Amino acid sequence: MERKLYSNVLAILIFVTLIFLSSYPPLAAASRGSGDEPVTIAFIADLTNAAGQLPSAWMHVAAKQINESGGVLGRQVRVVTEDCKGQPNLAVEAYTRALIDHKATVVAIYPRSEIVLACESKAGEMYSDYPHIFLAVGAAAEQITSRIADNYEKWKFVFRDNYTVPAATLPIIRPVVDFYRSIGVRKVALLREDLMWLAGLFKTMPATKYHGEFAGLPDYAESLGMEVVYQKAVKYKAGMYSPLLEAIAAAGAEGIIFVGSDGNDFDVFIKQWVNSSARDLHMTLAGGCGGKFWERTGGKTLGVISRGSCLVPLLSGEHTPEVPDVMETAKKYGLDLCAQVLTSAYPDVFFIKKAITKAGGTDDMDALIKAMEETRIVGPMGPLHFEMTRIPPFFHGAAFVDMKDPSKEHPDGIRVDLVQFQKDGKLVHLNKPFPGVDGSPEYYKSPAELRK
Amino acid sequence: MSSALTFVLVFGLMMGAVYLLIALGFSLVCGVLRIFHLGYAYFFPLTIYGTWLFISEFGLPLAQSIVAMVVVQLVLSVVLYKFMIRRTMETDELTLLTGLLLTALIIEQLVAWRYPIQTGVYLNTTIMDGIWKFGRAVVPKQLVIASIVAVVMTSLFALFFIKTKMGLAVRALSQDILNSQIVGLNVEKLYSRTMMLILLPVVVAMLLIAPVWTVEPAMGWQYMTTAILISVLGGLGNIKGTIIASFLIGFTHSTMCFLVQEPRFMNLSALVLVMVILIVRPQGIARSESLW
Repeated sequence: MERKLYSNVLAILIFVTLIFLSSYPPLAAASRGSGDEPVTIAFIADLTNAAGQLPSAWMHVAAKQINESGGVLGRQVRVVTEDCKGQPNLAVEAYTRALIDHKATVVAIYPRSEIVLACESKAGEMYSDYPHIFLAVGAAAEQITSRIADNYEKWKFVFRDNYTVPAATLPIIRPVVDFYRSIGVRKVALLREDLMWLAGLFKTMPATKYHGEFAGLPDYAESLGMEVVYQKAVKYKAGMYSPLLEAIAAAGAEGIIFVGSDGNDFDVFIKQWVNSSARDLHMTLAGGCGGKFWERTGGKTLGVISRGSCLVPLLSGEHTPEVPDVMETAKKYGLDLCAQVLTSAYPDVFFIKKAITKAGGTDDMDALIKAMEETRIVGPMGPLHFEMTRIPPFFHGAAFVDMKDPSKEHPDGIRVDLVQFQKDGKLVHLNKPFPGVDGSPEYYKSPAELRK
Repeated sequence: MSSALTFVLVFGLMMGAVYLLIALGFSLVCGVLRIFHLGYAYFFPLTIYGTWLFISEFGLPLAQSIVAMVVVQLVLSVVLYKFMIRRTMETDELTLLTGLLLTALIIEQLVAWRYPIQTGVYLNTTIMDGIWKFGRAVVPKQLVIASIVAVVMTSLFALFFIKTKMGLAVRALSQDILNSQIVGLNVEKLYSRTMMLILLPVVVAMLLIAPVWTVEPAMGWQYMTTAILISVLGGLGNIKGTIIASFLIGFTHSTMCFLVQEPRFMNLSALVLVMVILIVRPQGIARSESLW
């Protein structure tokens, strides 16, 4: 009787101990990604619109492709998508679930920046119990990576695969100004959508302790001998652009640069441009040309230059040995392309694979963080690696800006496209950012010439 | 300055004419059925995306797709009238308004789900591409054509209401339902036909302006706001008032665009205008007791 009681007590003790051990956070966390369990990448995005659905779909495809080729160190890669419906509170809940329920090694979060920042605070609270990698996908607010340099131990697990605004906006736009100058444009009109992320575009950026002052876009154009005859912050989704276009034409502009984001109604702008006095002016849309832009405008975008919309990959095949050809993948899986797919979401998964391989697994998070810092792959838009110069907000962000001159592109970083819509929607590269890209300014034809 | 004034004049006329097409149906339904048709917003996306559906899913040519879309809209109008408006308009106005609003929201959500912006929807309903010059003003040919069509169509509507028996009956109905029934008018039939009639200006307007203006699943609310402003300003349900109000709003918008050079004030300026006029004339520009 006594012996039976003793064995029952022992069984209960073992059971309780097992329960305790399995629920104890550090031990539970230690089990994430170890052994033969899949490596989990949680992806938090707003799935109520295509802008969130597409990167998610591409990440799932990337995991499938990795698993078909043997996985990571023999383990499968699992992508778990959580829908935050564009709401910060739901995103934070999803973040908690990703760590506790899904045991994610990497939690990737798709914009908006406000949502990313809310999750980042939560990540900071949970990191000691649930060590993981925080990856901001496509978000652009500089606050996301602004505190890593000053408090590395606390925020070392935070990475951002996108450039930061407003500091990186100039490197995107300046090549357009340079291109205009090369084709003889002397009078230019500058438009920007009136949103916070572009508020500094037309202003001189003051010096910080890390870099000197650099000129805003109008000053830069004028420093090249161009005259800015019109500049305006245009209401987001204004719907009515004819008056601006007529004013621009009346001001004698020879070229227009409109800087905006993918959600803006640039298709309406283009429809009204071809029906205005400005229709023969050189036209550049920096950003804003989301998928199917040619179709959405009924071909009226003929002759328009796009910069920063990432409409086509710059590199593929032998140039991206670690990332499958995105065009072939898109065709095979019936997926559309978008800027976030080409620059980040899709190549990110292959980047993570390489970093885990380099770290020898996912058990030692410090080793994985170090591997993330040292890993470099070449994606469809160029080399993808993180900036390691300890200058906020660039530190731990995708290498995009030249640290010696933050107004220029990184010599070994992501490039964004400079393409022109030509006959039947064919996209022609106007520059040659990498060897193997068939691009040249000589391929450019004016809108009037193309319409003939 | 003179150039800006020319633009204000020309664009004011064109915008006014297009707004007239957008608001005419709303004004009619207010005048005849005496309801504030909150479902009116669905006509706009359904015109564009309904046509696109027949082109992309069934492979029909543009003209046939437009006809098919009109048939769908007519059927939907009749169904809405029979099963929602007729049942609730006399007894439960709040339920009716809610029902109409929900209908518009459901259709918008369905469109947004099936055809998000990235789908690349574009209807090639361009009649003439390019620009014409009127003095110093440059205007899209498509908008000029839309304006001419608007004026012709409104004239035909006016003639219909003035000269035809059915128009007379609808006018009588808009003034007094009970007496109309006493003198033997078939109220049900007239209501049903009015529901179908109000479709035409919206359909024509959307097809004509789609190549130049905004096309997106949520566009209905933007256009309905304009329609409501015009109808309220003109005197709910009065066609004469609607015509005057359309051009007033058109000129206000073109002034903001070409004289002030700030399109973002278009809606604000129109709202202020409506408020000021309603303070002076609470009933709107014209009497709202009759259609004409």
